Amino acid sequence: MIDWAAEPAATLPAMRFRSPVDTAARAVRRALGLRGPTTINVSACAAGALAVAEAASLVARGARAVVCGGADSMVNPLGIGGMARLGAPSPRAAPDACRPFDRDRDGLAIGEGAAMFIVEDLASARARGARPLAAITGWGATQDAYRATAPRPDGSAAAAAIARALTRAGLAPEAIGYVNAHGTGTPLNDPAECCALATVFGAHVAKLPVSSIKGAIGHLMAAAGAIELAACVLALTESLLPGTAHLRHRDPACDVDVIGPSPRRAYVEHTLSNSFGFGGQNASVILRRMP
Amino acid sequence: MTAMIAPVAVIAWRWRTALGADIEAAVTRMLAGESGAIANPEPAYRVRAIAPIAGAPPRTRHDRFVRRLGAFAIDAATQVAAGLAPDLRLGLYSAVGGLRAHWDDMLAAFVRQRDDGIDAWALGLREIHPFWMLRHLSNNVHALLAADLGARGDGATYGGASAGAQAIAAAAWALHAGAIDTAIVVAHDSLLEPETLVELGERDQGQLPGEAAAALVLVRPDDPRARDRLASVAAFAGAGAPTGDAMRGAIDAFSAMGPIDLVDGDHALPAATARTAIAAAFGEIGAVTPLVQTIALAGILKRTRARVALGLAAGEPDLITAIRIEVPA
Repeated sequence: MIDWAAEPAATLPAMRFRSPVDTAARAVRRALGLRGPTTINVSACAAGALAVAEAASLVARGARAVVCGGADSMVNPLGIGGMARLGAPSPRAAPDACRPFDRDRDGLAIGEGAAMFIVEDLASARARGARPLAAITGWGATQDAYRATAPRPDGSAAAAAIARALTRAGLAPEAIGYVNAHGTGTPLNDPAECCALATVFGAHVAKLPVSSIKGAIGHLMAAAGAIELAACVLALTESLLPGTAHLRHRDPACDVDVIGPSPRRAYVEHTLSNSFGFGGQNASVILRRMP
Repeated sequence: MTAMIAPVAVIAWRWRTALGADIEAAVTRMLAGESGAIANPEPAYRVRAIAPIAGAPPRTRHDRFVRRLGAFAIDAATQVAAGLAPDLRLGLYSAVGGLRAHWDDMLAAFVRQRDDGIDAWALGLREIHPFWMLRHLSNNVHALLAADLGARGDGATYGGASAGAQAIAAAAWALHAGAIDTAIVVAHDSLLEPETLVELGERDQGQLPGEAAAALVLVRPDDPRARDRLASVAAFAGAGAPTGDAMRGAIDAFSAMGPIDLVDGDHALPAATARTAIAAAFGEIGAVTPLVQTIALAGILKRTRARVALGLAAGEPDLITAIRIEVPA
């Protein structure tokens, strides 16, 4: 503990460095008057996806409706400084700092944001007149068990998460029509994720559209999985697959069908969203288009 | 409510508490009315007593990346997981307090900061250790443990005062769903950091801030290993005032599973709530509470004719936990 006696007059500044992890959950709970069980997932960059997956699991077990999602910001001196010291962000101060799957990528761009969902039993949603946007059909989680600061290079644990999600959804790999990649734009993440995709999808990966929205909105850390699921919802409802901002020269080590900077119009039935957290916590979630 | 509750078998456990690491000895001391409380040696705080874990955790290769409580958690989990096969059927569920800042190793970089945050880097943040983010990352202990133990299956890290119950509940459902065959649940938390102590001192409600780390190994009730189980546990993590419907709902759900012989509350509950001596013995231990209750209540039950105990706890803000523990006949 700090030697408080050596700083007898010290008080913390009004600027709050404290970071209660359930701030957002508490605010949502109070704003909506929710009184049910509360779960606060802090599994780093996989937290948002895992929160949605857990909500789907709860509904599958009998819960009527769950409010879920993610909110995060590391856009502050401590967050930016700390990430910089780990060497994760791009060192370039440029709008195209984050270039997922590009051969010249050199790191992520720290972002901030939030995305929330109502996950609800389909019959319940329809009974109250809600228009379902998508169905959560599959989810899977694994852990790299590799290193705290680097993904497993062969993507094997990430592949297992994807495979588990496919199994839960009852889908063959060929059924997936779009992958929203974790795609951080760091030198290590992107090729490892492409290895995972190649492992699961085999030859299908050559014609499987993949993109990362992190080049456009940055890495939202704990909220990334949630907002990227929102991107998948929009891909289904708008029949428009988001592009990969700032991609100019695809890295040959990322041998998948990466969508370039412009969105691609396509009608797909099933989407896959990957969230691979710092420290190796992997989550994959599959959505299905609503008829 | 029932969507959250799934009993599982506990086949191994370890803890690091203010009453020591020896579970039998600690339960004996607790039942004798002893407490891990000591007089707060720091007069700058108005908190009069604290319940720290005595001593330091054993040194490991992770020392540069984890802080003291995380090291205790790694120590407990490593011991509890001895002999478990490292593979995709082994899950890991972690709980960290996180409601408190736990900035105690960084306050020196904070005290010169301006209220508006301008020049924060120059006014101290640049002096922070390069590994501070790893040390403070919510899932750092989880990541290191997963690598050490080869836990590649389902898993998640939970935060907040109810995180221990969240982790047990999530592990239980992953087991029942067949996603994994074995789950390690590990939790660590401490209220012994400056801001929390100042806050508790200002409230002056007689709470005993403490710290602890604990780990459980869980399997499905029909797993052959469950025949030698230490106990069965089911957990609920809810929200709401501890006297409100949320707590009552959990109690009702557990009561529906059969008679309850013993109830443990904690200091955050109203005085009228039935309680045993767990919080008095181990202190307020936040996210670790459900795990320590599991171990301690099972230890009490085994010394009596009673079979079933209910452990209740309330943490700020408005987070409640309830666990049901049953020991074999």
